[in-house]
Amino acid sequence: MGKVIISEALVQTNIDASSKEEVIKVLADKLKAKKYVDDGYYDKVIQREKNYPTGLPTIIPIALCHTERESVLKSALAVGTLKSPVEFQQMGSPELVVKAEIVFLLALNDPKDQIPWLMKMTGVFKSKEVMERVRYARNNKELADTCKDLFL
Amino acid sequence: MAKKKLNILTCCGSGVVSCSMFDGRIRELLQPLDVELSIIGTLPPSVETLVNRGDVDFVVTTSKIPGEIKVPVIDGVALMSGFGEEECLEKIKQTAIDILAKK
Repeated sequence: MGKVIISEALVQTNIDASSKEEVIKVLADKLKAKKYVDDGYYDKVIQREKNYPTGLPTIIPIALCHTERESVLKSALAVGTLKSPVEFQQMGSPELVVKAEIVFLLALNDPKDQIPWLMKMTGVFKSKEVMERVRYARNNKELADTCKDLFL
Repeated sequence: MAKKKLNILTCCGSGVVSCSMFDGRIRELLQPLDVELSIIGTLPPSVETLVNRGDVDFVVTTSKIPGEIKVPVIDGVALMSGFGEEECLEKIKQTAIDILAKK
Protein backbone atom coordinates (compact mmCIF):
# COMPACT_ATOMS: atom_id res chain seq x y z
CA MET A 1 0.00 0.00 0.00
CA GLY A 2 1.35 3.43 -0.84
CA LYS A 3 1.99 5.59 2.18
CA VAL A 4 0.42 9.03 1.80
CA ILE A 5 3.00 11.80 1.93
CA ILE A 6 2.26 14.93 3.93
CA SER A 7 4.99 17.53 4.25
CA GLU A 8 5.67 21.20 4.71
CA ALA A 9 6.47 21.47 1.01
CA LEU A 10 2.90 20.44 0.19
CA VAL A 11 0.94 22.91 2.29
CA GLN A 12 0.18 26.61 2.13
CA THR A 13 -1.59 28.79 4.65
CA ASN A 14 -3.44 31.96 3.79
CA ILE A 15 -3.70 31.43 0.04
CA ASP A 16 -4.90 34.61 -1.61
CA ALA A 17 -7.08 33.43 -4.49
CA SER A 18 -10.36 34.49 -6.03
CA SER A 19 -11.23 31.28 -7.85
CA LYS A 20 -11.07 27.55 -7.26
CA GLU A 21 -8.81 27.17 -10.30
CA GLU A 22 -6.26 29.45 -8.67
CA VAL A 23 -6.29 27.56 -5.40
CA ILE A 24 -6.04 24.18 -7.07
CA LYS A 25 -3.15 25.46 -9.21
CA VAL A 26 -1.15 26.53 -6.15
CA LEU A 27 -1.56 23.11 -4.54
CA ALA A 28 -1.15 21.08 -7.75
CA ASP A 29 2.10 22.93 -8.51
CA LYS A 30 3.48 21.82 -5.15
CA LEU A 31 2.69 18.19 -5.92
CA LYS A 32 4.20 18.55 -9.38
CA ALA A 33 7.37 20.19 -8.04
CA LYS A 34 7.99 17.09 -5.97
CA LYS A 35 7.14 14.84 -8.93
CA TYR A 36 4.27 13.20 -7.02
CA VAL A 37 2.00 13.93 -9.98
CA ASP A 38 2.59 14.43 -13.68
CA ASP A 39 1.86 17.35 -16.00
CA GLY A 40 -1.66 16.21 -16.72
CA TYR A 41 -2.79 16.20 -13.10
CA TYR A 42 -3.95 19.81 -12.78
CA ASP A 43 -6.18 19.66 -15.89
CA LYS A 44 -7.70 16.39 -14.71
CA VAL A 45 -8.51 17.80 -11.29
CA ILE A 46 -10.13 20.90 -12.81
CA GLN A 47 -12.14 18.79 -15.24
CA ARG A 48 -13.24 16.46 -12.50
CA GLU A 49 -14.24 19.38 -10.31
CA LYS A 50 -16.43 20.68 -13.14
CA ASN A 51 -18.18 17.34 -13.65
CA TYR A 52 -18.29 16.11 -10.07
CA PRO A 53 -17.69 18.97 -7.66
CA THR A 54 -16.18 18.31 -4.27
CA GLY A 55 -17.33 21.20 -2.09
CA LEU A 56 -18.57 19.90 1.28
CA PRO A 57 -20.69 21.84 3.79
CA THR A 58 -18.63 20.52 6.67
CA ILE A 59 -18.38 22.32 9.98
CA ILE A 60 -15.75 24.54 8.39
CA PRO A 61 -16.54 24.35 4.66
CA ILE A 62 -13.97 22.60 2.54
CA ALA A 63 -13.26 21.18 -0.88
CA LEU A 64 -11.83 17.71 -1.34
CA CYS A 65 -10.31 17.82 -4.80
CA HIS A 66 -8.96 14.71 -6.44
CA THR A 67 -8.94 12.71 -9.64
CA GLU A 68 -8.42 9.14 -10.78
CA ARG A 69 -5.06 7.54 -10.22
CA GLU A 70 -3.60 7.96 -13.73
CA SER A 71 -1.66 11.15 -13.16
CA VAL A 72 -0.52 10.21 -9.69
CA LEU A 73 3.03 8.97 -9.28
CA LYS A 74 3.17 8.92 -5.49
CA SER A 75 0.31 9.22 -2.99
CA ALA A 76 0.31 12.59 -1.29
CA LEU A 77 -1.94 15.17 0.31
CA ALA A 78 -1.60 18.90 -0.38
CA VAL A 79 -3.52 21.26 1.91
CA GLY A 80 -4.28 24.95 1.63
CA THR A 81 -6.03 27.36 3.95
CA LEU A 82 -7.56 30.36 2.27
CA LYS A 83 -7.19 34.04 3.08
CA SER A 84 -10.83 34.52 2.13
CA PRO A 85 -13.37 31.82 1.23
CA VAL A 86 -13.43 30.61 -2.37
CA GLU A 87 -16.57 29.25 -4.01
CA PHE A 88 -16.84 25.60 -4.98
CA GLN A 89 -19.93 23.73 -6.07
CA GLN A 90 -21.30 21.24 -3.58
CA MET A 91 -20.72 17.55 -4.02
CA GLY A 92 -23.88 15.91 -5.37
CA SER A 93 -25.71 19.24 -5.64
CA PRO A 94 -23.86 21.43 -8.11
CA GLU A 95 -26.53 24.12 -7.89
CA LEU A 96 -25.39 24.82 -4.31
CA VAL A 97 -22.32 26.86 -3.45
CA VAL A 98 -19.81 26.03 -0.73
CA LYS A 99 -17.54 28.84 0.40
CA ALA A 100 -14.49 26.75 1.15
CA GLU A 101 -11.98 27.90 3.75
CA ILE A 102 -9.72 24.85 3.49
CA VAL A 103 -8.88 22.92 0.33
CA PHE A 104 -7.51 19.39 0.39
CA LEU A 105 -5.91 18.18 -2.81
CA LEU A 106 -5.63 14.41 -2.78
CA ALA A 107 -3.30 12.45 -5.01
CA LEU A 108 -3.90 8.76 -4.39
CA ASN A 109 -2.52 5.99 -6.52
CA ASP A 110 -4.20 3.10 -4.73
CA PRO A 111 -7.45 4.28 -3.16
CA LYS A 112 -8.84 0.81 -2.47
CA ASP A 113 -5.83 0.05 -0.32
CA GLN A 114 -6.04 3.42 1.34
CA ILE A 115 -9.59 3.02 2.68
CA PRO A 116 -8.59 3.22 6.37
CA TRP A 117 -6.71 6.41 5.59
CA LEU A 118 -9.71 7.88 3.75
CA MET A 119 -11.97 6.98 6.66
CA LYS A 120 -9.68 8.97 8.95
CA MET A 121 -10.30 12.00 6.76
CA THR A 122 -14.06 11.81 7.14
CA GLY A 123 -13.55 11.53 10.91
CA VAL A 124 -11.57 14.76 10.89
CA PHE A 125 -14.21 16.66 8.93
CA LYS A 126 -16.73 16.16 11.70
CA SER A 127 -14.75 17.67 14.56
CA LYS A 128 -15.03 21.43 14.96
CA GLU A 129 -12.01 21.59 17.22
CA VAL A 130 -9.85 19.67 14.80
CA MET A 131 -11.00 21.57 11.75
CA GLU A 132 -10.24 24.83 13.53
CA ARG A 133 -6.70 23.63 14.20
CA VAL A 134 -6.23 23.13 10.50
CA ARG A 135 -8.00 26.30 9.46
CA TYR A 136 -6.13 28.60 11.81
CA ALA A 137 -2.65 27.12 11.54
CA ARG A 138 -0.36 30.13 11.61
CA ASN A 139 2.29 29.00 9.17
CA ASN A 140 3.16 26.16 6.82
CA LYS A 141 5.10 24.19 9.41
CA GLU A 142 2.18 24.29 11.83
CA LEU A 143 -0.26 23.31 9.09
CA ALA A 144 1.92 20.41 7.97
CA ASP A 145 2.46 19.20 11.53
CA THR A 146 -1.26 19.39 12.30
CA CYS A 147 -2.14 17.45 9.15
CA LYS A 148 0.49 14.81 9.88
CA ASP A 149 -0.95 14.37 13.37
CA LEU A 150 -4.43 13.99 12.03
CA PHE A 151 -3.89 11.95 8.94
CA LEU A 152 -0.84 9.80 9.39
CA MET B 1 -27.14 -22.32 6.67
CA ALA B 2 -25.32 -19.95 4.31
CA LYS B 3 -25.17 -16.28 5.27
CA LYS B 4 -27.46 -13.92 3.39
CA LYS B 5 -25.73 -11.57 1.00
CA LEU B 6 -26.14 -7.88 0.25
CA ASN B 7 -24.90 -6.39 -3.00
CA ILE B 8 -24.26 -2.70 -2.61
CA LEU B 9 -23.17 -0.33 -5.33
CA THR B 10 -21.36 2.82 -4.31
CA CYS B 11 -21.15 5.67 -6.79
CA CYS B 12 -19.06 8.80 -7.02
CA GLY B 13 -17.47 11.01 -9.64
CA SER B 14 -14.14 9.23 -9.66
CA GLY B 15 -15.59 5.83 -8.90
CA VAL B 16 -12.89 5.61 -6.32
CA VAL B 17 -12.30 8.16 -3.55
CA SER B 18 -15.75 8.79 -2.09
CA CYS B 19 -16.65 5.20 -2.94
CA SER B 20 -13.74 3.97 -0.86
CA MET B 21 -14.88 6.15 2.04
CA PHE B 22 -18.37 4.68 1.76
CA ASP B 23 -17.00 1.15 1.68
CA GLY B 24 -15.45 1.50 5.11
CA ARG B 25 -18.42 3.25 6.70
CA ILE B 26 -20.97 0.81 5.28
CA ARG B 27 -19.05 -2.25 6.43
CA GLU B 28 -18.76 -0.78 9.90
CA LEU B 29 -22.48 0.08 9.98
CA LEU B 30 -23.79 -3.25 8.71
CA GLN B 31 -21.36 -5.52 10.54
CA PRO B 32 -23.91 -6.34 13.30
CA LEU B 33 -26.29 -7.71 10.66
CA ASP B 34 -23.83 -10.55 10.09
CA VAL B 35 -24.35 -10.85 6.35
CA GLU B 36 -21.97 -11.22 3.45
CA LEU B 37 -21.31 -7.81 1.91
CA SER B 38 -20.32 -7.17 -1.66
CA ILE B 39 -19.55 -3.47 -2.12
CA ILE B 40 -18.46 -2.24 -5.53
CA GLY B 41 -17.61 1.33 -6.53
CA THR B 42 -18.53 2.78 -9.88
CA LEU B 43 -19.13 5.94 -11.89
CA PRO B 44 -22.57 7.55 -12.37
CA PRO B 45 -22.95 6.65 -16.07
CA SER B 46 -22.41 2.94 -15.29
CA VAL B 47 -25.01 2.56 -12.57
CA GLU B 48 -28.11 1.97 -14.71
CA THR B 49 -26.45 -0.85 -16.68
CA LEU B 50 -25.10 -2.54 -13.57
CA VAL B 51 -28.46 -2.36 -11.79
CA ASN B 52 -30.31 -3.75 -14.82
CA ARG B 53 -27.88 -6.62 -15.03
CA GLY B 54 -29.28 -7.70 -11.67
CA ASP B 55 -27.52 -8.36 -8.40
CA VAL B 56 -27.55 -4.85 -6.98
CA ASP B 57 -29.69 -4.40 -3.88
CA PHE B 58 -29.19 -0.68 -3.40
CA VAL B 59 -26.96 2.23 -4.32
CA VAL B 60 -25.18 4.82 -2.15
CA THR B 61 -24.00 7.85 -4.09
CA THR B 62 -22.45 11.30 -3.91
CA SER B 63 -23.65 12.27 -7.34
CA LYS B 64 -26.89 12.42 -9.30
CA ILE B 65 -27.26 9.31 -11.42
CA PRO B 66 -28.57 9.38 -14.99
CA GLY B 67 -31.21 6.94 -16.17
CA GLU B 68 -33.89 4.92 -14.44
CA ILE B 69 -32.62 3.09 -11.40
CA LYS B 70 -34.87 0.30 -10.19
CA VAL B 71 -33.41 -0.13 -6.73
CA PRO B 72 -33.22 2.27 -3.77
CA VAL B 73 -30.70 5.08 -4.28
CA ILE B 74 -29.41 6.75 -1.12
CA ASP B 75 -27.65 10.11 -1.11
CA GLY B 76 -24.43 9.55 0.82
CA VAL B 77 -22.94 13.07 0.83
CA ALA B 78 -23.87 13.38 4.52
CA LEU B 79 -21.35 10.63 5.26
CA MET B 80 -18.65 12.85 3.80
CA SER B 81 -19.67 16.15 5.32
CA GLY B 82 -20.94 14.98 8.68
CA PHE B 83 -24.15 16.97 8.49
CA GLY B 84 -27.19 14.73 8.48
CA GLU B 85 -24.88 11.79 8.93
CA GLU B 86 -26.92 9.97 11.58
CA GLU B 87 -30.04 10.07 9.43
CA CYS B 88 -28.10 8.86 6.43
CA LEU B 89 -26.62 5.92 8.31
CA GLU B 90 -30.04 5.07 9.69
CA LYS B 91 -31.49 5.11 6.19
CA ILE B 92 -28.78 2.81 4.87
CA LYS B 93 -29.25 0.40 7.75
CA GLN B 94 -33.03 0.35 7.42
CA THR B 95 -32.82 -0.18 3.65
CA ALA B 96 -30.46 -3.09 4.24
CA ILE B 97 -32.75 -4.62 6.87
CA ASP B 98 -35.84 -4.26 4.65
CA ILE B 99 -34.09 -5.88 1.71
CA LEU B 100 -32.71 -8.73 3.79
CA ALA B 101 -36.16 -9.46 5.16
CA LYS B 102 -37.30 -10.20 1.60
CA LYS B 103 -34.41 -12.51 0.78
